[in-house]
Amino acid sequence: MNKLIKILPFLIAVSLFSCDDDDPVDEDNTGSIKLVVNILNDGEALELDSKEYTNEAGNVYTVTEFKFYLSNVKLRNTSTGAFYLEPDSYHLVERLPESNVYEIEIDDVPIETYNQLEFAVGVDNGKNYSLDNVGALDPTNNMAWDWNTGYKFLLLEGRHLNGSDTPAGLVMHIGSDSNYKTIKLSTDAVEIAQGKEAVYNINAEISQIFKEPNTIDFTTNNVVMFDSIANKVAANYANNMFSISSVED
Amino acid sequence: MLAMLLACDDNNPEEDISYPESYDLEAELPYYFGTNYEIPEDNPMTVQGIELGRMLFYETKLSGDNTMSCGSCHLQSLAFTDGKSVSAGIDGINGTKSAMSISNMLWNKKFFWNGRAESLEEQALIPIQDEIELHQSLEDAVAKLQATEDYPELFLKAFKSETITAENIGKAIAQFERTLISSNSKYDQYLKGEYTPTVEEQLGIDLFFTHPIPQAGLRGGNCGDCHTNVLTTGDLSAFNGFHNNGLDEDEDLDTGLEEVTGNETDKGKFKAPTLRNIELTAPYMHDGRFSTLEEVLEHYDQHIFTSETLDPLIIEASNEIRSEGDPIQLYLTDDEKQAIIAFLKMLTDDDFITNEKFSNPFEE
Repeated sequence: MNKLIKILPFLIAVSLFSCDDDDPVDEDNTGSIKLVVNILNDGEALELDSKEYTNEAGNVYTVTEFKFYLSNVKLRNTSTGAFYLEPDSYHLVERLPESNVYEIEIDDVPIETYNQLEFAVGVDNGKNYSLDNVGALDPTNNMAWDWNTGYKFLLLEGRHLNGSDTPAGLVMHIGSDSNYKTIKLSTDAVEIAQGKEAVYNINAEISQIFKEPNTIDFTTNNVVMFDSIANKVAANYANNMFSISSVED
Repeated sequence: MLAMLLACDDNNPEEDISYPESYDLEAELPYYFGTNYEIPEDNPMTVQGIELGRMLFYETKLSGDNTMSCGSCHLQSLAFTDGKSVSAGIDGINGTKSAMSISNMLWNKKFFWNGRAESLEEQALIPIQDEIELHQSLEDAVAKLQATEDYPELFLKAFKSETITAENIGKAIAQFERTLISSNSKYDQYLKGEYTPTVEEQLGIDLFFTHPIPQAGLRGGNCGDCHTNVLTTGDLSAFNGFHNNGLDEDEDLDTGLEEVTGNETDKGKFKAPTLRNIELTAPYMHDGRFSTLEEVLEHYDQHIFTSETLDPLIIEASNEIRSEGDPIQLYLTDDEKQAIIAFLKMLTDDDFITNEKFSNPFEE
């Protein structure tokens, strides 16, 4: 009898959980986060098509299209080691005509205090060669090269205004496993509280893609895919492209 | 008992709850097309809606003088094109754009060559009213259909109302058009593992989907940059699927997407259409200027005109290392061009052009 009383609450708990197969997350102990990605160039909202920019090498250029995969979002408490990884975490961040801000909402984040945001630019090896994917990875998003080569991780297209009569395009299609880059951004202590949303304001600065540590000169490298220059571009976006401007929790 | 039920039905047609029956279009779609599409919540696919839409697609009462229908310029045998560079409407006046093929419309979010319609529902009503196409007001179209013996009941079954509306005409035609799925070409059979391409076809597939990188010795036809993924259709995001593909110099450029966005930077950009059944949909380009696929390949290989809005991916497509001042050329070999055409012919789908469900119901 005594034993039964002891296990009864456990049985009830088990049966409750078993009814809840679709949603195993205990919502009482979770909050949510929003990543607000500000796509900037030279510190201001990236403008498409007509706005002329000058890169570190002094090349004048325009941007007609810009998008990249932001994937495997993680929150971590570097003191306790506690961390949360968003399941099936693939987001295609794109500069759309109506806005330079792209928002990512993530629910069911366990209550905890975190002081680091981590994500990757690119698609991890596990998904990179399987093009029968859905959502952000759906091949109709025009980021898949073909059925063998995997995804473009970061795509920037535009024009290099080189002053000559012959127009030059600007084509950055960066992919392949070695260019999958993990970005870790420290924050103050961010408390994820039940039923509340913490907002991470993230700046994604285009000019950095051509700047540090590798200055990319469009005179010789206005088309970058696959090659060693692609690795240099990827080293740049892994370096200083992303920063957190504020967190509202 | 049965007689009683039927009698009830006859007296209260409005209360008949067995219509419309939902139609599972998704069951027909191959997995490799992906799921990046939306069927509008306010226009779900139904058996009766599709049937009605098929009739309306071929219904000449939708034209001012009852002589033409959608199907007059969109012939199933030509993958819903008409073989003409531009088409004349009921008054014999030519339009300015070539009739577009209709297939796999689920993976389209902008319609017409310049992208001026946001949905199939919206698109379907425009040619009815266009003065050089079917040239009839929607009021007249509705009144004519309402006065027929059959249509009020067909609308009742499809949309639960005998009162015909322009909105429901658009919805029914859109439902029918969504069923026009082309997914049994030789290329589809290859994707399903049921067909082994010839050496030439395989070369064509590889070239089609490859952007050339001469520095790396990678040869490509640069086609898949705009005609993306296995659907060979344009990018679905915003107006990214619209491109200036080098048909003319600045001063001769047709306006295209600029008419819709008002941006000069969109001048000369047109929708990259699906290339499914492209063998059947000549002549090519928005104005039908090229008669053959060979001419199209020659255009992209050797005859690109530069302009302010020429697509960067076309500017930077070359199989030879270029120096400043060199013309924009792909430098494909004749064999490579033939291989790409062999691939394009793999996109012909005989089932699609003979499927009785898509044919003119008034000619059965």
